[in-house]
Amino acid sequence: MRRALGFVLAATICGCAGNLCLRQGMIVVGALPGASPEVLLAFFAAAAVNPWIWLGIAFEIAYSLLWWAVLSWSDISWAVPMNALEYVLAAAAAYALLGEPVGLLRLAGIALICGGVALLGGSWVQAGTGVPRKN
Amino acid sequence: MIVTTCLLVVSIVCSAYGNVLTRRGLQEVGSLEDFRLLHLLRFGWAAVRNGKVLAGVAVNFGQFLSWLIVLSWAELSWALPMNAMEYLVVAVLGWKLLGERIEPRRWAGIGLVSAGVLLTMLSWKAP
Repeated sequence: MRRALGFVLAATICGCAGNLCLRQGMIVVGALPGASPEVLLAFFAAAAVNPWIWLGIAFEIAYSLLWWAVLSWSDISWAVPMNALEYVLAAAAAYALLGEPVGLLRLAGIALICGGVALLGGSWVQAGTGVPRKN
Repeated sequence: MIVTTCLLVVSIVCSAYGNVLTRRGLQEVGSLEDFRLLHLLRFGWAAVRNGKVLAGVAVNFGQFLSWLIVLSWAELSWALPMNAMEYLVVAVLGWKLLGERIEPRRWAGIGLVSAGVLLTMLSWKAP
């Protein structure tokens, strides 16, 4: 169990760092302005040459590998709600590093989500319906 | 806010489906118990050669592209907690498709997550 907890925490930190890098990359690339094929192509081409995106992808791969290891162990459904930790961690990091104005409304939303996820627990994994996202 | 939320819902449904595929594939591959490099490589190789794992990865790649679009429009502290909609999608799918009975405790969890997602959504600020 301690091994699984370590893996879950490491995965959470990697996932959070990855999303921070991806968001920073998309700030550099700029908001997608339309949905025509040329616009989409230019958008993803700009993303594909952005070093932040690649750093983010590296973190996301580490996240996936760690989660794959965790999910290959049965009887760890308690670990799934820990995923909600990433919302808290990411909000704090986005506020500190990206200067996002995290208001009271958003904080209240995240708190409710974490409470709800804790209540839901890992029951939905036992049902065999899925594993947590990510992103 | 509406367009971004809709794109997130599509991406979450893809992600849930991709995860089911990956999970089924990994159950076929087996449990990872040994962390020496050779065993890790062997585990990774077996996972990569499994069709369901590959299909799951392909679906998740599409989901990743839509996540990039979402992140180009929205703040991370808004977009990431919005992913908790996945818990709602999975609960509703389990209820409707698998006929799972939802206990009061899970209803409470679903209610809290829904309220939290709603508050987060309303906290939208175009960056």
